[in-house]
Amino acid sequence: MIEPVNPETDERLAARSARGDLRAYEELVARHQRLILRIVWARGAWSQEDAEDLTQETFVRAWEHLDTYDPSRPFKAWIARIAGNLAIDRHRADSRRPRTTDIEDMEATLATSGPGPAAATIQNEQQRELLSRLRELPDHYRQVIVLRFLEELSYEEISELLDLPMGSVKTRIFRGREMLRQRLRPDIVEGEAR
Amino acid sequence: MTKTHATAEDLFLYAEGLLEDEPHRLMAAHLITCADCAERYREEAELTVSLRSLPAPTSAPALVADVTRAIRRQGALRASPWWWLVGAGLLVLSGAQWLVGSDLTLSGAGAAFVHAGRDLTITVLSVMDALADPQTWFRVAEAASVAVDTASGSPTLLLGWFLAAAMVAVAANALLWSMARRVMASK
Ligand SMILES: [Zn+2]
Repeated sequence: MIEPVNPETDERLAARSARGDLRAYEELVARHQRLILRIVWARGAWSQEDAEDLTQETFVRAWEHLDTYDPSRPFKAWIARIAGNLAIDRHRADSRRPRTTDIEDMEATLATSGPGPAAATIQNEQQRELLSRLRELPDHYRQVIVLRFLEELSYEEISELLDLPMGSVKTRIFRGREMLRQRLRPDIVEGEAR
Repeated sequence: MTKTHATAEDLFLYAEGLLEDEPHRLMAAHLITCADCAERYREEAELTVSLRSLPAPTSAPALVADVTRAIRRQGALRASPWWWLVGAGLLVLSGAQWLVGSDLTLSGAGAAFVHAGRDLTITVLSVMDALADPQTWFRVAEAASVAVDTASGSPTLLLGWFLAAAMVAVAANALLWSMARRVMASK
């Protein structure tokens, strides 16, 4: 990632945005879109297209509620919370009707998406398997794992972002990984038709 | 820790660099001597590498522009037709004010036209009051008084105009409301 040239802090940009400065807000969107994409992805928007839609919705909703943002708190955490809530709501609504998006969809969209190392297609069966198991994890485990290992945030950052004590972040990531590992082990996975 | 095998949690904490200096050193020493734990550690590290290589969504080039467009569109929608009417009303009012305030000598039909225009403006603005905006009342009264002030400068006349404008606004408002109610009741 290229470091932003603009030295303004997120919080100052947010204050300018709250006064209606759309240019300042564009800078915030550019800075945080990747994080938000991955948060909503971790919460169940499994295709690039779904993730983009929800990310757009997150930023539009945040713009409308900028007056409720407290500039003494990190903007990143505020926007992450909006994204998380929105994704949960959407996921809940989606789970009531049959799902059409799945890993194959994601594969297809990622294969045609723009450049960048993470845009690679699912390389092998092992990756496909890992993604399926990750998808099955309970929400609170999956999210921290995505933030830590895909978004590569530090433990401090995750703690701040999710408003969780450091100890809880560590425990969650550890347990999530253990659960993932157990599900990946073919001898432990029960009732699998494959 | 060199004697007993490492717990899964310690292996995880070690891999993540979260152990304190001393336990970290002990774990490193144990992994050199214990093939079992070394293998478990390798699995731990492999899982991290696999997770990192998963294809998560990347940045979307068009997203910033899409967000801006969506915000602009919503903003345009939020400006309801009423506000366009208020704007138009104020525009007419300012035009009438200019006519009265300028040194144009108006007589007969010209003066009547200006007065009719001003009364019409007041009526239009009183309709806007259906939005229950007290500011509208204020503007009507203020605009009328300013217009009269420019024309005559007499405080008595000014007060008279102020009251007249308010009364016309109230009357027009009440009339329009009763008409609207009758129309709705007949449906
Ligand atoms: Zn051992």
